[in-house]
Amino acid sequence: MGARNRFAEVLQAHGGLMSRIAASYEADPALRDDLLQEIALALWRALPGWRGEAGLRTFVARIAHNRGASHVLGEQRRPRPGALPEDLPDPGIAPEQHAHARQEGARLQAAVRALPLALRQAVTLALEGFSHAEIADALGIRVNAVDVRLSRARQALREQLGESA
Amino acid sequence: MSTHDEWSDWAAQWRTQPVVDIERLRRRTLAKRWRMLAMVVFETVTAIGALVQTGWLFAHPGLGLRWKLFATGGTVLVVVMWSITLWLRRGTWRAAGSRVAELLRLDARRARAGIRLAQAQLWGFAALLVGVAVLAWPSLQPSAWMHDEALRRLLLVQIGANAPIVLGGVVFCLWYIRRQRRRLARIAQLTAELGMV
Repeated sequence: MGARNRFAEVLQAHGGLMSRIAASYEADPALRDDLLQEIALALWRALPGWRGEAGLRTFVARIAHNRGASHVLGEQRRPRPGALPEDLPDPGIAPEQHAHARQEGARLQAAVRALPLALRQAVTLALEGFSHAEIADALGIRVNAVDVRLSRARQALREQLGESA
Repeated sequence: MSTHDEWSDWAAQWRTQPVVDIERLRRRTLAKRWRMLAMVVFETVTAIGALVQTGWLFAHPGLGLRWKLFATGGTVLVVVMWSITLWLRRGTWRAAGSRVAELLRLDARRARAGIRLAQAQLWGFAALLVGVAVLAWPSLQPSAWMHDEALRRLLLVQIGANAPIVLGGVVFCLWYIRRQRRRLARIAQLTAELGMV
């Protein structure tokens, strides 16, 4: 299989994951698009080196988070904790329930962006359905560190989103 | 609400984000890769062209020792600038399969190397200025240019053309050093955030 076909297949399978991880690092849509391209480019270069020691999804997530961390080093535009944006996406003509779900999704996205990096990385993977062992593998930390981070993140998200336990 | 339900709800909300256009992303990624390759090829060809030109100047039989030394200095400067460009671009070519902790350590090493390079570049500018002043010293004497209109014009053109380049280079180096120091501080903060210290 050619490198291009392989890359296209991986993008098809994991593009959504990459896009959501990029969104957890950057609020500005244009910069988020640039970051997503950077992640895709890094994936293109790293893919030939993947030997299956970690699952492909874990490998992709690790690359996306590494690029995200580099992005944070360059420029940080996430809102301060507690300052969730009021200008949520216009629901347009979508049904009311769908619009509500999108608003809730956008609020959650902003709350995740406001988390400290360590918690944010663990949370995005947990929300993507990664097991604690997979999160530990992707981030290069111990499983009990994942437990601690997710517990703290849950508390922070509750406070951010204003929900009762 | 139980912890499990809470995570399930959040996970469902998380996936309501807009779907990305994969085909567009694939096309733009490949195009970007080609642009980066084309830029490196262009810079390499330009540097080789500059080397050939200064080499030709150096080998020119009618040229005095002073200008041969100047051509040598120009060659060295081209090689140094080209090396610095490639060095700085290394970070944008690397595969990113390693872990965040290793990546941050690598970034910190590169930021420190960048500071050292910029400092070396400042010393290089100083050396260039001193070298040029020594070479051109006889022509810089007022007695030489006061009554020589052509020389006066040549000196003014040289100063007018090169002073902004050198000044711009110095300002860039100082800005770059400051930026890399801020980057190092940010890396330290991120490292602490990630609980790696």
